[in-house]
Amino acid sequence: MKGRPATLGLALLNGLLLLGAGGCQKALPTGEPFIALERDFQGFEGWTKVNLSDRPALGAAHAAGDAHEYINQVPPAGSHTFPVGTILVKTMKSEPRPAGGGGGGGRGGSAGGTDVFAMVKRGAGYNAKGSPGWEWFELRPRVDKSLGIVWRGINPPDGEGYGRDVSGGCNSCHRQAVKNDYVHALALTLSEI
Amino acid sequence: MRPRLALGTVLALTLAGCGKGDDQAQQARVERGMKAWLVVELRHFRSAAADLQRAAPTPSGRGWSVVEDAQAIQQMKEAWGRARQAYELIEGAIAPLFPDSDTATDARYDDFVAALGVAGDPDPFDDRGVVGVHAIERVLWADSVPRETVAFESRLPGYRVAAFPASAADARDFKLQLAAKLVTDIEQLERQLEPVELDIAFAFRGLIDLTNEQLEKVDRAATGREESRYAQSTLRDLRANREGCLAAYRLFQPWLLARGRSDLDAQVMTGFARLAQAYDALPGAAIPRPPEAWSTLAPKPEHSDTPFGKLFFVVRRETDDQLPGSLSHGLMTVADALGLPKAVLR
Repeated sequence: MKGRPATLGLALLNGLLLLGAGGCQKALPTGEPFIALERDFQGFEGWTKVNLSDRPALGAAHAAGDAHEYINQVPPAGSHTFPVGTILVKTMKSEPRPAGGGGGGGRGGSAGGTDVFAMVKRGAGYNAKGSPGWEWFELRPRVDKSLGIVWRGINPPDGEGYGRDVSGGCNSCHRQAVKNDYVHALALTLSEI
Repeated sequence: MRPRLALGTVLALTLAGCGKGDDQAQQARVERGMKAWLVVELRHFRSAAADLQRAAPTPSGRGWSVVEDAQAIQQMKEAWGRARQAYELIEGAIAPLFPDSDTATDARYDDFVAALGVAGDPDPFDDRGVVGVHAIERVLWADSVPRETVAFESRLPGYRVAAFPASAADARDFKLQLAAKLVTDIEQLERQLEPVELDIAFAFRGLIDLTNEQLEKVDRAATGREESRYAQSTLRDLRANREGCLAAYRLFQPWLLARGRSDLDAQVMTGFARLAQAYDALPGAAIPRPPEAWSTLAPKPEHSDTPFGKLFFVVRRETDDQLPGSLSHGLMTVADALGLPKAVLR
């Protein structure tokens, strides 16, 4: 999605109305980190939705195509950063990956051919050398439609457990959006909210 | 006997019924129990790290001496073992939530020097570069690093030979920087955990991660990246991982029994017993050496009868959640039986 869509204002207003109506989290004491757990992602489809279908591809994790982004709380006007506790969930249609887990859990691919990624403003100095404050997630819907956390951290795991090269993965791409607190979506440009 | 009495009381209370309200109560109990357990073990971890720091000698005008400082070195090694035990009980559950802290406290030498590059860590006793539990281990056992470990590490860019503090300044740095940093990093981890209200998905995922942690350790040992490689105590780590996993399972056990699933409980407990049998069949604290030409991806049949091969196959089997009858499969079935959000694994 390039430029500001006419529907964005409504979408943001809708988001503001949703704030406090569910899907958002309780106010955090200043300086307190927000450590997201699975419960915090459930029902994200009810949050403020931003259609990203016209946007260009931004890498393997965010291929162009049918994609949607949801935000649990739109920042107040005049914000220079997204508040701690902000959750952005992005869904993308993808080729189904073979699922070996069965039952919606266990090891396997993406049920229904949908990839789900999230970025959460954790704050408190998290990911300081990558995208300060942000924690990255891959989520996967279970058969019962609940979302499970596949991985979380300052970057995707490389299978080695400690391969935390902050120069690659999520950080390297999102660093291009440093002026917008590492959020690419034009519809969420802080200076225009 | 107190823990057994407590468990008995919980069982008596929970066997009374299992409606929806009971499930909510059980869920809340597990969430609280998981948090309390993590808090207690982190406290033990911090206490042992503080003991280690206190025991660190700072002799006047010299570095450490294996003769003159033998008692202090032994005390530090003993405290290090307690620290290790405490963290290994909970690492699988807590590391995904606090990866920064896990790196600071528990990353291996090769993890650090990979990030440091060819310069490596010129001062192994300060609070920068290579730090944490294994950095301290590398100093404490500097005079007995296994040949295989030297062979592995010496190929790493930036490698430097492990050594005791050689001067009074080094000894002071070890105590006031390297050992002190471990204590402060654990304190920070405790502060981060304190406000978190864990959910049931985290609790169950922790149980699965604690199980899988054991396979990761065996896998790493097979490629020369053994975890407690200087102290030669990775088998002790594995035993602690299993104990931690069992402790986490015991949080769910009363709920399962209240659902009348003693059959499933028996299956899970048998899986734990098989792991215990495999670990107890091996002497001491060191993990056996992999046989020559060992391949984790394609183990040769003749390797299956070696001590390492036996261990590998038992751990791999029990951590395979797709294999009916394995411990991991049993635990996943527990999730189904209790209606829990099943762990979603990579």
